Amino acid sequence: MENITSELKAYILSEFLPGEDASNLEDDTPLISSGILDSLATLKLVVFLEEKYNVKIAPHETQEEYIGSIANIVTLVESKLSA
Amino acid sequence: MEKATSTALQPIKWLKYIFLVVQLAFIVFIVHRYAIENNAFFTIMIFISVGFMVHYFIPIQHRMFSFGLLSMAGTAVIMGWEPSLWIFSIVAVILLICRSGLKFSYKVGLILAGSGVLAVFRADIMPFYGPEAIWPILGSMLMFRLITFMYDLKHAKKIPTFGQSVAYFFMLPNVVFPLFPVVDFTNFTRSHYNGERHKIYQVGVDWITRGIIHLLIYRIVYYYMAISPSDVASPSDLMQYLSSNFLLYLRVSGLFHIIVGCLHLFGFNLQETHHLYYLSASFTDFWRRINIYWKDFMMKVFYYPIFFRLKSLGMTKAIVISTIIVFFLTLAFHSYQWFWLRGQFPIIWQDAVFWGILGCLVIINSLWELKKGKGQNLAAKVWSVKSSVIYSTKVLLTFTCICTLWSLWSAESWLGWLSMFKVLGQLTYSEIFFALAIFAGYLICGYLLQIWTRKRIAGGNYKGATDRRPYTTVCLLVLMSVMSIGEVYTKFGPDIANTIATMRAGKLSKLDTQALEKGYYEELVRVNRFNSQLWEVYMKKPAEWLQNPGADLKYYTGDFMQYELLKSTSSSTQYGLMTTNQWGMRDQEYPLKAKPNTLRIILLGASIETGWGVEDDETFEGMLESELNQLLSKGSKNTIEILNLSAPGYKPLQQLPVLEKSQKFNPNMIYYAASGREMMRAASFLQESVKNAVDIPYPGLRDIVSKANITADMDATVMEKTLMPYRAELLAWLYNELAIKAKEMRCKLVWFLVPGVEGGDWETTAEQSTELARQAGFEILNLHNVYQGYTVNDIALAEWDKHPNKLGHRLLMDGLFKEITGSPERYLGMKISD
Repeated sequence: MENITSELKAYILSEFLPGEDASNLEDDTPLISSGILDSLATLKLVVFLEEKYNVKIAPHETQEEYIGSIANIVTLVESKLSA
Repeated sequence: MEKATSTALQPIKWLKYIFLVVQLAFIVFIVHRYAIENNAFFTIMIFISVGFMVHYFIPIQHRMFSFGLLSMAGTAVIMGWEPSLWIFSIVAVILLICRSGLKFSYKVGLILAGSGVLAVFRADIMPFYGPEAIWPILGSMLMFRLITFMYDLKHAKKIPTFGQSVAYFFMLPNVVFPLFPVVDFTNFTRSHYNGERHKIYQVGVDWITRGIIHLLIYRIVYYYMAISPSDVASPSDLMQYLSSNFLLYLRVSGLFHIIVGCLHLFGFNLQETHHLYYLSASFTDFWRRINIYWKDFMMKVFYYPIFFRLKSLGMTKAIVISTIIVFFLTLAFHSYQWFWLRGQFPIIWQDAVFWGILGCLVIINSLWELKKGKGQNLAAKVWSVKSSVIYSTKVLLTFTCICTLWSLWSAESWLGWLSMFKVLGQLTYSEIFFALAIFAGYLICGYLLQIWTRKRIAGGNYKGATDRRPYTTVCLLVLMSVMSIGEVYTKFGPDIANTIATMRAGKLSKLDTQALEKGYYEELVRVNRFNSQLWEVYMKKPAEWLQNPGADLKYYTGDFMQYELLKSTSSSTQYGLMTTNQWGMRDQEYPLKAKPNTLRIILLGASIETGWGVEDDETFEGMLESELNQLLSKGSKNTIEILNLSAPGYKPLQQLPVLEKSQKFNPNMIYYAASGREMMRAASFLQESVKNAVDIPYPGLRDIVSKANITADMDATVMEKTLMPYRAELLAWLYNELAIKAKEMRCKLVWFLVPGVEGGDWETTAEQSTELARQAGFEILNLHNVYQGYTVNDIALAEWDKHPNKLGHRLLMDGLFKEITGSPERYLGMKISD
């Protein structure tokens, strides 16, 4: 879990928040309502998750409930990996 | 649920409660004083406020269901019991299907079949025996909400409760706003009391206030800024035209703020529907900020599923194809929405061009962002002058492009739209210098604003919507309330008083009033702009409303007069019988030759004079004739006959051939009934005649056509603009011709203006027409104050039809009777008693 969290943070910081201080991005920082994840960023993130963790994300899992924060994304990925 | 429970355990905070109730009282007062939207909205606002006062004390577990019940009750209050029962029954059947144990595909099949049946009724393919009034509201409740509800039902971990479903479909204040944001079902249920409830309520009050401010600014734009393409004569006019078109969208954002604000009062902590969309810095940014709920709906239900299916093609291709499909669907949904609201499915080129171009721009922008990234930060960033200038320039360019695109969306014709840009060739060096100076000022303001907002964020003073202290809202509410009082705002001088009086008026603007008048001769589907008040007025108009004036009674003559009323016919309309005599007049029978001692008057007029919207025996002409004869019978052997040669839709120039036709009746007097917009109507008829290559039998009129250089192949907007300087000359020519003809017929001419049922710009143009009539030698009969003491609602047929009703005709008759009997020699050429 730690591993996924840190990999995700690193990815989000480099792709969507270049130059941002890592301490500003926390596990429960809202990603969608804050505008970090817009539609394009969501698509990029999905492609990243599918390739990196070899999981299949469904269209309805692009909603806040599943990818609204780093913690949510980690839960989603873990549930897929353990299935 | 944890959060919700903790909210439920919060003690009642009386002070906060009273503070919220007081703010709501201010809002209700403002809605009333500024006539925000319509009477139904005022009623529903009271209903919502009282509902909130009770809702506050209901235990959390019952709040969702009680909101559903309140919403149903609101529907019944506004629509009445019969339409409401129809709506409740139809939604109940749909909910039963959705919540049944059937396989999802069967549910979808049944819902589609049911929708098909409703569509058949809506399109009038089969007769619907229920009230027509249900369609716009039912359509608005179901057309998009059912899609997102079914989508969420498919993916939900548990079936939504009955209370959630009822609350979702009937949510207040939908019953008064058919144009309603597409609220997502998941967001609707998840956001319910997901935070401290007093904060949620306060956001609601804040947003309702903000919505009202949007609507008041909209009114200023609507009344003072909006001009027609034919009014564009200089580069500054062009700027005004382009920007006002886009600014009119404030109405939609205002309404949506009010709607979502009302939902907050019942604990739905939903996000904003619009976010500073006039400050978008790119096309994708614009798509994300304007109508956010629509964007989210399209993304969730269509964009992501399509992209996921196509992503094997590669990111770029999948994005391009998905975006094209989303914009195409947006275009199609525009017509789909129109279908449920109006019963027609229009395909309009302006919509296709607008969404097509915007779609292309968003695709290009998306691919750019995909390649370069958006570049953003969580914390405050120090802004340099350079970055600020770049950002402000981007905002201005985006705003300019959207304004231009928006104006194309609302243009009547492609050529007319293009012709407006010719004025750019008139730009002088001083104007260019002035524009550059304004641009420099804009950049400086933009820089200062960016520094200020960033500092607020960095300094921790900026607290976002949910944490903002309500002082600003309270101040604004008090200010708007105080300024709505006549004794106060008239103290600030005529300019401010007039502006506030305008803001307090919920009537149609000059442009829309003209469009409403034109609407009698045009297809309804042309009135399709989301930002138009006229659109809403039309939407309320029943599909079968009186049909086109005289549609069943017209006989086409094939000459310059174009048509007259059919002879000896009777047509049943919604307001009663419309009967014509053997000569094609909506009047009693008259012999060709008048009996001795008969004063014969010919009445020349249009729809009002024909008695559009009243029974055969309720026209002012018929009543006047009868009243005058009653008076004459007391002391004179004379009688009066008023032969009504009016026909619905007649314009001033048509009265000339009508007068020629009337010679056979040997009249003694000609009464010419003028409308408020004589010049515009005369010009518009000449335009139609030239456009349709109708033979013009009058040399004087042909001279004007040739002087103005208008030809049949010209675009309508260009022709209107070209003819504009000749309008006064045209009307003067007509009045002089009528005077010459009347002299030949040895008739006296009387001119009277039939006032509009509500004030407007017609009053100014009427002064010019009156003067022209006076110069031509008409006797002027003044009916100016005939409706004094009555409101528009008292005397107009309906909100969408400003013809006078029965009372209006009675008042017109009274006015004419009083004037005529007051100066009989002037207006009848004789004394009343022998």
